[in-house]
Amino acid sequence: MLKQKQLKNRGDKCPDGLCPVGVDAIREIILTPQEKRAVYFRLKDQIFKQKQLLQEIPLF
Amino acid sequence: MVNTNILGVKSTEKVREIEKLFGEIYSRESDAIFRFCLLRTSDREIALDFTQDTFMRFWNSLMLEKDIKNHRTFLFTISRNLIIDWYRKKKAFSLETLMENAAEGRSSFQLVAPDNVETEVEAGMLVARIRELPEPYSNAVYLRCVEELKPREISEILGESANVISVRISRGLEQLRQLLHVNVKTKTA
Repeated sequence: MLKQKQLKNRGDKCPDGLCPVGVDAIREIILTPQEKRAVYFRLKDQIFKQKQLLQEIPLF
Repeated sequence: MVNTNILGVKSTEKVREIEKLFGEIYSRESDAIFRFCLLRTSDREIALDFTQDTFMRFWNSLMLEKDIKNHRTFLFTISRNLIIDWYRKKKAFSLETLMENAAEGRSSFQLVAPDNVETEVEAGMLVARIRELPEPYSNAVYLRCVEELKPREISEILGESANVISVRISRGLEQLRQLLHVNVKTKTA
């Protein structure tokens, strides 16, 4: 049997049970798969450039 | 196990570990960070840039081995700071952007499922109401209701005590209900 806390945490219900109806609709505002990939690739590129820059810095 | 040498240069193994963690956190939290940025800026392109900046700063913090207790609250704190800086630089914002977007027939709050128009309208309206809340309440209500963060976690992001945050959530929700109630009344009148 599920505990009270687990029952409370199921589904999209507000944790306090006080939030307005439809608040779960806001959670559907997300990145499109293309946007998610694009941001990730831009980040990877930035990280790669940063790594290269660090390698170019002479240590002594 | 020694992962960094005396000059702070990390071993390949350590970098791979950080990359793995970063990838996991990105796939888990990027939507929430993007949503938070979009709610505050009303501009999808700017929100995308802020999401990228947030995760880049997060990467740098991971590389510097900063003591990050909670990745989620840490990311929200970075985003919030970026948005505060942006507000300071650009005071006359969103109304123009919203009008431009409306003229071009695109909504910033577009959902992934394009056929779900009703949900999109509902989300857009509720976002607008949350944004109408005065600032001490808006972020607290949003982070509690939408992102389901605990008052203690919100207090880390907003730099207040958990008690203050609990009061803000409760007062904010009260105001939000009033706003929604007024809105329904004016709609039906």
